[in-house]
Amino acid sequence: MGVFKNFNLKKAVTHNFWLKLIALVIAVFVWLYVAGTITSGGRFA
Amino acid sequence: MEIILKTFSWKNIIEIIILWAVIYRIFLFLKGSKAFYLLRGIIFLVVALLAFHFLSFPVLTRLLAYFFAFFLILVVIIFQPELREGLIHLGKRHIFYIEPKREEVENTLREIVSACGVLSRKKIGALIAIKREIGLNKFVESGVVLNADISSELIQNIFYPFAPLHDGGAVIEGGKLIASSCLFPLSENQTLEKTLGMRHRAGVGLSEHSDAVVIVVSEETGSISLAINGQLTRDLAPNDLFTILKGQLTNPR
Repeated sequence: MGVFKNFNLKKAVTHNFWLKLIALVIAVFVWLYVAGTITSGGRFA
Repeated sequence: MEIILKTFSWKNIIEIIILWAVIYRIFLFLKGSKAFYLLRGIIFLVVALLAFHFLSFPVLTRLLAYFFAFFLILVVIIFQPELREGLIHLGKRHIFYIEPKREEVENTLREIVSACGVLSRKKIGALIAIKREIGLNKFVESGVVLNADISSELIQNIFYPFAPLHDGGAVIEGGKLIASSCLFPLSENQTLEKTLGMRHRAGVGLSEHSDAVVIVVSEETGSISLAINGQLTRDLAPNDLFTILKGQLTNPR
């Protein structure tokens, strides 16, 4: 568990904040796009 | 959209989180490299494609979509080495930032700066790269792997002119001297002073290809220089070197 010994939540969020935010926005868009494609293909239909 | 929202569950949240982590890691891997500009180009193309689509320009949308598909194939060919390195090192790094222990970093820096001070006084050339987030394994593989605890004496010994490992650069990662005699890429920056030798060009070159901090000790003048993000700061006193290194390596960027 040495990996978590120095874990700092504030720094984990604020470090490269904009990069993380852009990545999150893209991830949501990609998911919505793919889920939308799948939906129209009939997975949820 | 309605169907998606109706069937949305905790599994979908996990899917989004995994996607987010993967995209973030790709960004980090590309950040500071030439490929990052390419990523910006791709984002611009996607935005243009969406804009044309929503503004109902069918010909431009189709044209850009064809170009985009062709462009993606080109990217795979042009950036094949970067993609290969990325896949090799996939999963080797932490997903989010883990703060390094400040004292450990400072102790390592003290040893490095002390060695640089001695090498500078004796006018012995040295090239030392300190790894940050971007992997340097490609360069480590070109040298001799040591995996040794860092000490000022070890660094001095490596760069001693008659030592077998003195040619090339040393790579430091997390308090360990990972390798020496490594080949670093030479900078092709035309604005660099013509008087700079191969060692300085290699230092700047590595800092252009990665986010590593590279220390260069000149063989001719004994001056200490520091290359960060392709920028070379010259004639540093050991104290200044320590301050800059501490600032660069203990504060998150």
